[in-house]
Amino acid sequence: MKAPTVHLRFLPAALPEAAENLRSEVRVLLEETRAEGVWLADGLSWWGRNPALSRALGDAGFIGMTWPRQYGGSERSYLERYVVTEELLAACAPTAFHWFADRQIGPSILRYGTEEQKQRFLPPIARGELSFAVGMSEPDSGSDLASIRTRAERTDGGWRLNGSKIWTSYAHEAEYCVALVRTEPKSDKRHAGMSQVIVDLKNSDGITVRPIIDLPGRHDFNEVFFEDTFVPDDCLLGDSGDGWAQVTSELAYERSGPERFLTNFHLLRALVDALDGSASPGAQREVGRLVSRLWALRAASVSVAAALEAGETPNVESALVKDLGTNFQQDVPEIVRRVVADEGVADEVVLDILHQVILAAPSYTIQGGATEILRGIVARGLRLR
Amino acid sequence: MSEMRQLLMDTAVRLFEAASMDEVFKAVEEGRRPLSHWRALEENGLVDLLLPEEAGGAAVGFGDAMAVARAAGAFALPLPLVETMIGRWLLSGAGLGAPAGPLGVVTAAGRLEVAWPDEISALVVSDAADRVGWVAAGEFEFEHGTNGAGEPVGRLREPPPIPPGQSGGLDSERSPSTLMAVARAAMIAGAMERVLDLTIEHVQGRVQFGRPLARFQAVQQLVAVMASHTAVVGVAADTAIAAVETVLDRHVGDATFMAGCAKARASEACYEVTRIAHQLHGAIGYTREHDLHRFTRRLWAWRDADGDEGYWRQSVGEMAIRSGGAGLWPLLVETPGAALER
Ligand SMILES: Cc1cc2nc3c(=O)[nH]c(=O)nc-3n(C[C@H](O)[C@H](O)[C@H](O)COP(=O)(O)OP(=O)(O)OC[C@H]3O[C@@H](n4cnc5c(N)ncnc54)[C@H](O)[C@@H]3O)c2cc1C
Repeated sequence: MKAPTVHLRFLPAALPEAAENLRSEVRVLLEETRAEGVWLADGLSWWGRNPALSRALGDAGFIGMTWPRQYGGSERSYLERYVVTEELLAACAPTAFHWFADRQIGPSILRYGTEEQKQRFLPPIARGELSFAVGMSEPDSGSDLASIRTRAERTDGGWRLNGSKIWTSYAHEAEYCVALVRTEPKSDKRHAGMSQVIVDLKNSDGITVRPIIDLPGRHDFNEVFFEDTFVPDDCLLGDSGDGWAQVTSELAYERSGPERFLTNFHLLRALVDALDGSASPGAQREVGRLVSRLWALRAASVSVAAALEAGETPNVESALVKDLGTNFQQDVPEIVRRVVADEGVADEVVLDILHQVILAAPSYTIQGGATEILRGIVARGLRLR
Repeated sequence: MSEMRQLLMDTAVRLFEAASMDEVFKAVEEGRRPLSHWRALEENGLVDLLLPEEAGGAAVGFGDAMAVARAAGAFALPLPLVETMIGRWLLSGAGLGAPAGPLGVVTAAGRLEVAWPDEISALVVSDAADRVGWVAAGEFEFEHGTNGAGEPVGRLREPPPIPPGQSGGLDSERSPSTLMAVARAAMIAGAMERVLDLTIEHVQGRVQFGRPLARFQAVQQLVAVMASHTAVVGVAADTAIAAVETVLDRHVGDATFMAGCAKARASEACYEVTRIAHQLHGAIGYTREHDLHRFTRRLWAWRDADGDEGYWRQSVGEMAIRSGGAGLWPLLVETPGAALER
């Protein structure tokens, strides 16, 4: 018998000293701003949106960290950004104001944008002053994103948008939305003819934003309608027709991050706070079950972050981390619920978070690539398809 | 991978690949003594990898030795190589010479269970007074049993007393429970990689309804799940091993938490990985004719060995609860330090 082929190997990685040093800086900033009343934890953690906190983080250089200085960044490594991100999540900081721009839109502008776009958008994003929404999904296009129909037609000095986007998180608050649109009619080539445009949500005619109340009862996402909405030429992002390649190139960054397993860390933390030395062995084991899974997921996620830092494109590994991470997150409230009941925990803090998290949990395995899609990517990585 | 590690792996894999390994399996299956093959491991220096050069060892780092443990897992090696490797090193660290032949290591985490009780020449035991020593075969009592792989195990009622002159001080950085837990996690990772490889090979080759099983989405999704668990167990084991190595090299901190997390996660994943592997193999996997059972049965044995998921979850859970809400995050992210070479 020969040695087996190892199909997916995650190399163990540790965060470099420079990244570790940032931890305390982030913790101090969060502590101080909380004490000053700048922010309060949101029951859904980073889904909370707090412009003042984002500005404070921007001032401290914690947004757009990996970008060049000339565009407001601080030229830090991706691993340093990783530490800041996980510290924000661990502290349950409401960061939705800058999250999408920091994670995917800023990097896209940096990579595909014109010099003028970089100067115009990146510095205010990095200062925590400019908020972006992501306009990809449509009523008839979710997992099958390539089937989008919103079109942009050439007109004098720009493009005319018609169609609608849905589930657009914070479109009712953000200044801009980067929308994936069809700039050429559908053809045999599924991934051809799409482009990304930067839409000014506050100052364009022909935009209607319809609120959608989500399962937890919040107004976080929307449906956005475009009716002959004008987008000037200088707001086309990248080359016309390259939209698909552009949106898929950032997936590894979007998927492997710690928000895929730390979104409800505050629940676990509250549970641990509510338990003490008198916790039953059963409760200890359940806590240990969650903690050991979380620790292992983080080891995998840090490994992917190190691969990204090394210039690799770990798309399969990222899909894998997101699948296991979001499944873990979904298990957290169920397991906490049992412990709370079995141990007779009456702590209002835990119960309150628990009830909110149960309502949020179904979304984890849908947004940003649903479970079956992620597993399909892993299967392709294993050459099964 | 470092040159040293590559060289070691090549040696180990060459030995494990040798045709005689099939004989070892046959011997185990038929209840015969497999230890006639033990000499090859000794002659190639595998049991003394960790020992310092003065003691006749190869003085390789813990991480390199664990690469051999992972390879042993990938071959479902039915010999107490890892126990002996770690046992000899523990004794050497206490200034003791180790008796020749295979060893068993008794730990509290492992519920005082020892593999191959009739074959080993001695047991390595540590006591509450932070001493480690050995007890020769025949000088300790146990009950006979078998593990999930059908291999003999001995169950001790209590750790046997160490005879005078056969013990020395145990370095706190070398906790037998912690070391055996990470070693076993590495073996589980290796065996899972094998089970995944066998399953991928099977679904690509087996044709039903006119196409390979691998073409069916339902099958692809199951393979993706087992591949995911396998990958995470692998990186968890490696990360815990790196933590142990740092503790040993720098004499800082303690890797019990990481080792416990890695072993709890590895043991937990055995169910899902073996369940899917057997499901996708169909009836042929439910035989002793196909190779799959060699590996799935070892996974069922090893998930219990050196602390099952219940034991380590409780240990990790206790640490988490003791750390309190504010201490939980630092507990999760603070490692003994040191970037591992990529
Ligand atoms: C809280 C939240 C916030 C969001 N924010 C944004 C945002 O800001 N911007 C944005 O553009 N979008 C956003 N989305 C939308 C999100 O990207 C989509 O929900 C996601 O892409 C899935 O699409 P869908 O909901 O249409 O589900 P569908 O694609 O209809 O999928 C439903 C189910 O069918 C399965 N399925 C689909 N295709 C296959 C297949 N080929 N094989 C097997 N199974 C399949 C899926 O895995 C899933 O389980 C958000 C979603 C949520 C829940």
